[in-house]
Amino acid sequence: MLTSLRYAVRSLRRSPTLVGAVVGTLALCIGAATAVFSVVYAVLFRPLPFADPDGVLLVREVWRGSPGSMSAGNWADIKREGGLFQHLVPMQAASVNLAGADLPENVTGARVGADFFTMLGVAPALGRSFLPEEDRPGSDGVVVLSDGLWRRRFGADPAIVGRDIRIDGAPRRVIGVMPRALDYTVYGEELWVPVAFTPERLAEHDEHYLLVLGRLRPGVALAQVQPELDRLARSLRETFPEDNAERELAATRLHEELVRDYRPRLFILLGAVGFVLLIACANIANLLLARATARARETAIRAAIGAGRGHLLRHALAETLVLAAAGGALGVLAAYWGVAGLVAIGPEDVPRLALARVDAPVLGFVFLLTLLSGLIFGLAPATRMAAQLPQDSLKEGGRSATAGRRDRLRSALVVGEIALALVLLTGAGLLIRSAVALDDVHAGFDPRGVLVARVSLPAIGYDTPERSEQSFARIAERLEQAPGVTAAGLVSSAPFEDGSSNGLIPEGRSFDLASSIQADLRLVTPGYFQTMGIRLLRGRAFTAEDRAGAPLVMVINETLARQAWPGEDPIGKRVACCEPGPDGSPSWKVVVGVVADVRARGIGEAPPPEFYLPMAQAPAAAWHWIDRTMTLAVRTQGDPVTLTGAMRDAVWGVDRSLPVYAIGTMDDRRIASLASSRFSTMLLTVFGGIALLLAAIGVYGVISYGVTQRTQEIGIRVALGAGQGRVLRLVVGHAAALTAAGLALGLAGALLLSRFLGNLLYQVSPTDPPTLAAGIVVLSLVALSAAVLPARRAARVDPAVALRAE
Amino acid sequence: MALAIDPLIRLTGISKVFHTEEVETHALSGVDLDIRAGQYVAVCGPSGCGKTSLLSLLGLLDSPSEGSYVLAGEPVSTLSPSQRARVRARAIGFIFQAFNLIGDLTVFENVELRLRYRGMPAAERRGAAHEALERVGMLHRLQHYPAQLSGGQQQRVAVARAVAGKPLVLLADEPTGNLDSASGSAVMTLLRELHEGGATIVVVTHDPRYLREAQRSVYLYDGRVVPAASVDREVA
Repeated sequence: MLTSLRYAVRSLRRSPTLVGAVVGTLALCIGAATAVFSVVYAVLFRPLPFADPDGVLLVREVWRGSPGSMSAGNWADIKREGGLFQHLVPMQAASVNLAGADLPENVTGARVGADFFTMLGVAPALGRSFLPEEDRPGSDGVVVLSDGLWRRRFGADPAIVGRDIRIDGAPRRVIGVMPRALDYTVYGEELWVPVAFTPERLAEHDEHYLLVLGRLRPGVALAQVQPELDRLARSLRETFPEDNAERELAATRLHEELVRDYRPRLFILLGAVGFVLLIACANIANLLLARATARARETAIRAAIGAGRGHLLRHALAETLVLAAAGGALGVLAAYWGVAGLVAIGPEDVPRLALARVDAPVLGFVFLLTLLSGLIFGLAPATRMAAQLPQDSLKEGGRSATAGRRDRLRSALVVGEIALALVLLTGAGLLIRSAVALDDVHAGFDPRGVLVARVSLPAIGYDTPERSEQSFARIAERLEQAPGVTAAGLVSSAPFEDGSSNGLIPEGRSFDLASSIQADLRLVTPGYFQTMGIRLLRGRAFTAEDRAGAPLVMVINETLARQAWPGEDPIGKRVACCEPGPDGSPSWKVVVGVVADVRARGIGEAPPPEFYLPMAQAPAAAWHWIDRTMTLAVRTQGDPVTLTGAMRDAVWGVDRSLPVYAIGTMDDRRIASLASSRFSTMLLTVFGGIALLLAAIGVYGVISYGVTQRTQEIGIRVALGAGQGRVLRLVVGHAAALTAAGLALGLAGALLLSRFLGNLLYQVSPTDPPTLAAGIVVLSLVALSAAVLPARRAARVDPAVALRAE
Repeated sequence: MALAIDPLIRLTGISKVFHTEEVETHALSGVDLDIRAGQYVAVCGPSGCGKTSLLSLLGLLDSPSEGSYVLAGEPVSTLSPSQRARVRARAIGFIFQAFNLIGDLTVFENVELRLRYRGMPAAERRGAAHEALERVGMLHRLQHYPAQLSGGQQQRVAVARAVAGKPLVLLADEPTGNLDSASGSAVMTLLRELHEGGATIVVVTHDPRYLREAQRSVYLYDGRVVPAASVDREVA
């Protein structure tokens, strides 16, 4: 085989153009496929950095079919009664402020149960993890750092263990640093502190804010879990009917849960790039078939002097192997750039995207892909060569009797290319139309000229609701007075930020969970609606008079108004929510205004029911729900970024230790909310474009080759009186027939496969006729244009020269 | 090279029919032919008489439609394509009109190619190729490519490729057809020397000068073996 490979290299060196075309095409397509696979592998398949990662489950409450968070009380009861779990650990995201020598910094952390790392099966690289006694109020002043934070913030100081650092204004002792391998759990958190529930918290069953991770006892199968969770859910419903009515429990593998939303999108991209590679392989197979035909005589000679089919096959496959290996090797290089590019432009919300790299599993994929590509494009030419008749060696011209069959195969390959290209073009077209539709959607607010930032108040110094409210109110005042600010307001979660929700009971309905409406809660200051450009539809917005002690009021959005009082005027209606009133009676709030719906969960998502409460009247518990974190928003006439300094000054004028983080314009956030959709659209459009180009090259190759093969025939036709128009029609007609067959096949494929895009489309049907028609028209024009050049060459055939040459 | 089995080649009632769509062409009909080991046989006849078809059958490039072919005592007319390839590599040396050297291979590699297909060990292969090239006077051009050689030199390399490994029979198809007269004479001299060394040679030629080199001439006309006089009559 080595000799065959040596001969193959030597033989290919004499065809640099062919080698360049084949290797270049392969490198580009294998590189693209590998880059996409690297992302797919990193996000979907790279095991989570835990021991036996498949054994880590996410246990969730499910209310009316929607999975959600768990209350501390429910967690404690399940942990106590659930015998199947070896560990059942609560986890809560925490936005924490790190004090520093220069600027304070806000980082994402997590409050976790003491056995969190034991459950994950990860040992610290430095120090130790939590002790059970540290998971209690009063003795929880410890912290474990991630490798990333330790390096970035503390210069990888090995003496960090045992030192105190200030987190949210309080000192915490660093007890350990996790290894670099623990790159991701759930929130991308950079530090962990004990959750340290108070007995009061552990008794609460009505606040659902915990993620619960579990690991089963050895020998327990996943199938045993759901019946056990059903039993526990029943028990919770019976024991705490008010808080747990209609509430179920469910467990899924954590990894599945983390990547569920990204799986279809990534698989579609992988499929699309696979199609591009297939089209490329068809083109290369066509080139190699032409080469095999050109070398038919040499093959016949080899057969004549004793080469068996095996020898001929090996000889042909050796060339294929060399081409594929060169393409694969260059493809790896292309993939390095491709991965870097995808990570750079990829949406930020895709978990573990940053881990995408060309590593051993990806190289294994490249190896298999290269082998597979080589087989796909090399098998047909190789088997043709192996079937070469030895007696052709005795013929002067070496022309084979199988030329017709070869042409049919080449034509079939082009038909396949056109079909695949149409599928890709249709997919890209659908996503483009969907992206255009999304761009046209009014988000319900006016993002132009608005700058936002987050501020989190630490527990130390802000331990009462009044202190939190007063501090944020002072920040709001300062923002309003800042030069250049036309409006300023605060909100507990701006559009596209995670927030909290509550059950509301409109007056007149019975006081049970079944009658409640789950709606998103936003605490706002009076200037918020004007700052964000949210239209007031009825009633009034909040004013400074809506303060503590004044009648409790709320503003609702259109969706909530329709759900709570269909066909009625909601102004003046009363709603119970969020907290008990005095002496345990319902806390009624009067609806004073209705505002326009805001697509707060994403431009493509239906607006949820929402209600707004004045920050000054926030229920005491709400400060805990929102982790004492508010988003500041300012509007200006000019470039909002110029207000960054003013925003920081407003905060630091109240408390110099508070970090101002997540600063950005609402315009940027709106664009970021569409990033996933745009990312898929852009990649699919690029792949569609490449497919179109490759299909055009394929059509050109086959028609051009056909013209060369039929030069004598065309010469005879011209000699017999065929005009240029007739010859042009003959050649272009062949291209049209191939294109029509490809389009018919592609249309069927597009109708079959575009339904997989359904979840990614917005206001566009997967079988959108204009998109399908556009794909057909574009592909037809491109394919026929590709046939024009060889057709004109055919029309210029000089019959005398053609016949003499033969 | 001569073998004790006699005859080395025996064709009995050989016919070859080609079918192309609706047309049936009889290339050979009822050919009986014995060739003894060590014999130098010339096959001649007008264009389209079946010379190339006969050579194809003798060289196991093709199989007959009817009749039997026994080579060195072994029936070979019903062998599968892969079995025929093995016999070709082992027992038959071809010399083509157009030389048919492989352009990507050096002189040495061209000569050893058939031996490689035969499965001969590398050392033995090298020795046999060197011996064959020495015999045709081309040993000094081992690393040259065919394109670097003259037509006569290419045909001498083709002869070396044919004789390397001592096949049972050499089949030559118009071996001087693409050569000038001097080179043609040199090649025919080479064939004569090989024959004198005991080689069995079957050569297809139009050139009457070379017919005289052969011990025996076989005349073909319309796919049949005919006496020389009848060919002359038809041609006249």
